[in-house]
Amino acid sequence: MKGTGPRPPPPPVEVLPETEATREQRQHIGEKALVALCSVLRNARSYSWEHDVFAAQLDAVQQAMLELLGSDGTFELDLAGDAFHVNGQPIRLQPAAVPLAAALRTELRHRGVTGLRASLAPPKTDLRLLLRLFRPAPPPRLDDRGDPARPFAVLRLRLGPEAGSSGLSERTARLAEAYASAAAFVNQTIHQLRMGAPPLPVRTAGRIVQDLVDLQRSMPMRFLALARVKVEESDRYWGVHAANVAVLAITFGSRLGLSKKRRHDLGMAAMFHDVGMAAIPKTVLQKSGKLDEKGLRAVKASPLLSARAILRDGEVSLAALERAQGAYECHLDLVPREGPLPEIGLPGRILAICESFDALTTTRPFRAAHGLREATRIMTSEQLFRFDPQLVDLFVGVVARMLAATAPAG
Amino acid sequence: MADADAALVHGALAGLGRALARIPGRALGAEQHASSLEPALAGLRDAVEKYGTVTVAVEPGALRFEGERVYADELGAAGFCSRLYRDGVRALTFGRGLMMPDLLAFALAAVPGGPEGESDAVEELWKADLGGIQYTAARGDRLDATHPAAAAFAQEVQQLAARASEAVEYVDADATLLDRTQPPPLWSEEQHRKNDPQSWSEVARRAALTIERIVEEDLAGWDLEALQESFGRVLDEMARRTDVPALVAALHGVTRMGGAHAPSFRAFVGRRLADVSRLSRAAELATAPVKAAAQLLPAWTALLPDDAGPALIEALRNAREDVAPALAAAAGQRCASCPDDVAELLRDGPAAVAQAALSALPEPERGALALEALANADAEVRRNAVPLLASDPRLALERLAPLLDDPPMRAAAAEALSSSGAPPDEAAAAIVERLSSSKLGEEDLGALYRALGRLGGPGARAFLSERLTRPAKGFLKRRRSEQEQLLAVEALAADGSMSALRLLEEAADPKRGHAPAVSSACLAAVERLRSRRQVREGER
Repeated sequence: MKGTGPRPPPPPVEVLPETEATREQRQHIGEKALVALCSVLRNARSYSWEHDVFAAQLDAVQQAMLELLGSDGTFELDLAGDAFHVNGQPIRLQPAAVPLAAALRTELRHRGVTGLRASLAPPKTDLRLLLRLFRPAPPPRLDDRGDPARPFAVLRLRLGPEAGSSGLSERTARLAEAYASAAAFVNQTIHQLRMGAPPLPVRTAGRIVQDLVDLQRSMPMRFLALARVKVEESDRYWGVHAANVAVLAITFGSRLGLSKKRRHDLGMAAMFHDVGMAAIPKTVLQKSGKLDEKGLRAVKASPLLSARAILRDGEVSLAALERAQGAYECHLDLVPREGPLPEIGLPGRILAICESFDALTTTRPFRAAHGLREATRIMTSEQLFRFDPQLVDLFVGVVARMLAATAPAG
Repeated sequence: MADADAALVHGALAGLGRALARIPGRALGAEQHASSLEPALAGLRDAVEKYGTVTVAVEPGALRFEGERVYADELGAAGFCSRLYRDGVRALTFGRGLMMPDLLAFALAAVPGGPEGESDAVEELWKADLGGIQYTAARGDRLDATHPAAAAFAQEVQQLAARASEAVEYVDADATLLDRTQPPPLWSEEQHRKNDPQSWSEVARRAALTIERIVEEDLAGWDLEALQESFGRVLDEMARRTDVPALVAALHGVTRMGGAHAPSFRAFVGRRLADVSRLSRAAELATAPVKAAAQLLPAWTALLPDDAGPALIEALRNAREDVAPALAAAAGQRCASCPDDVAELLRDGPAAVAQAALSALPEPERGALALEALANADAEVRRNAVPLLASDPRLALERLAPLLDDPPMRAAAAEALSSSGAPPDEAAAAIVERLSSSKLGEEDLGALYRALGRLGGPGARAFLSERLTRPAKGFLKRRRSEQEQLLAVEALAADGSMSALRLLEEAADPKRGHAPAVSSACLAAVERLRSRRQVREGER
């Protein structure tokens, strides 16, 4: 452009969030590209790389690459562990395609290739040359442009140690950090409330929960495994407990098919559901024996105190009110021993289950932790009056089982 | 970039900025803004068609494309650019496939004061899940370094992250396979609709009840004022959304509230409800086509403070006919704060309004203000005002005596006078004067005689005795005088005193030569009085 000085640097890109739509699109196209590549490379053992039999399949590969270049601006195929990632997203495959994918994986590993890149539309000649690499007798040496004797014009290879493993580590680190941020937020909020000091901004909690929801979507099992984190220190219990409830609730919400926004509501309500504990003396919270009347009264008041901590901010948006009501209503019994039936919205009903499950599976001052099986037994029998029966059945049948599957092997 | 191309992009972005700046806050019906966003959408599509994606940097009060400012927000700190920047958005990227629903959703999330305008723009954009519009944002999951808890927060994150990593790293390899599958959701669309309506109205109603519960159970602590304010905002939002049932439920809850802080909470709410604009809004909402609308104004006005009279009068000016009486009644109750306005209402207001105000007048002001209603054009209003004039015995005679000359008011005035507590002889004298001088119909005659009977006293008895014992002579007057004798008998019976009893006993004597009907009536009256006295003496 005329008359301008040096361009200022682009704004820092620290977070580029995904949308459901773009992920689905990438999944669809990535799967197409992978399947086409798998078919092509399988036949590379039987036919010459110049044979016409590959024409249609190469067209399909090229078309998929073009589509991804158009939407994402790049095409990156990575081999990570036993999974293929396209533009950073793990691609799901139909069961019928798994053996082909395994074969592709083997071929790539055999040649030391861990990924494929294109930042422009690759010409057909490049795709033919890619086929050539997978002849029974591969070139003796490869560099990032393939065979140095017949280099690619546009395509680039990634060679060496598996790229995905570092990507996986990064994602795992993000998981751990997001979880830790959630727990720390709650603990510091309770601390600030006790001191009568300025609270932590709700916006920070909102961002943390956004990360949790996104991470659950991209790696649901590793995400759920976070609910196994337990702490002995009573000072940190409430934050870890809230983070675990958030993990369980977001997972449960995802399995129910709740929208992203709704899962965010669950996560936020989970973060704040026990901040009312700030008003209860530590001596009461840490007591190992039975609580006296004063202590019982204080604990009984904590749900309303949690709601108070949210409602005092004056926000009247649906999200804010859901957060307050979820934080309060999750403590109410669906069928109380006395008094009228309370009104409990869906977030409250979901959180009640997740909250109880985490509490039962954690060692407390007054009892040891129950195992998963015992906890679910208690919830579906002697505590059943507290919960929505349909939801608790789904939770026990699905989420608790998923969590059991994340247990360390051996 | 060529000049023409740059102009294309600049024009598109500037058009977007202008369109967003025109969208007012609190816009619930976003669809109405689609037409103003259409040109912006067209411009953006053209730009994106040419370049694939268009990324613009967000600054406080401006948008910048490739280093050049393409839009400066006239609203400055109050505009959408500042809001986006303040909430952490640093860049917007418009891509292929941009459609109106996405642009509308973006507008709702970006414009300050929108339906979710109080919340974080980044959060709203994230929730909107826009396909054609991406954003980049500064990290928001960390505390600002100046926050007192920042250091403790960062340290705790570091320590807990180590534990979380351990939990994740040991996840079984087979389990990670599930990371790549997407099983179908457990609930159908129907189940979602049934179990999770996500209605602001429902949640707000419950939230209002929760606040009431917190206050009632004395758990508000130093947050009492903040909670009051929150409650007020919830009510305002209910009113803005025309959510009459929720509003009525919340107001009933306030009225019913117990606990030590309930009075101050109610007083706060009452003061807020007394705001003229809110009252006017309530008057509008009371006409909503829902069952709860009929309960709104009674619930609302019951909480208003005593000095809310002027605000009620103001709201009354533009209120619809069918809701005006409820406002008028509330104003009448509070007439001490707006006596002149209430007087005007009673004098000149439509019948239903004047009647409502009249019925609600409190004791001290009742008599004086009811006088104003005597000037009302509606006869029923005037008639209903008459009994109220008797409320002050000192002034009752002065107010009611003239009405004895007004035929439509005469009977009511006589009745009111007889129960007003005014000095009996003076009151009786006024009635006797009219009985002696006016030609009265049967009904009025009856009313005046009954009034004399209730008044009692020497003056009344003297007249009644005279009418009973010296009837007029002559044929034409006989019927009338017999009728008046009978009325005198009933009046003396109502009097019930010893003197009245003696007069009746004398008149009952056949030797007096009264008509048989009169003698019989006297006898019956004597019997009644005697047995009444016996009962009284027996009780003593």
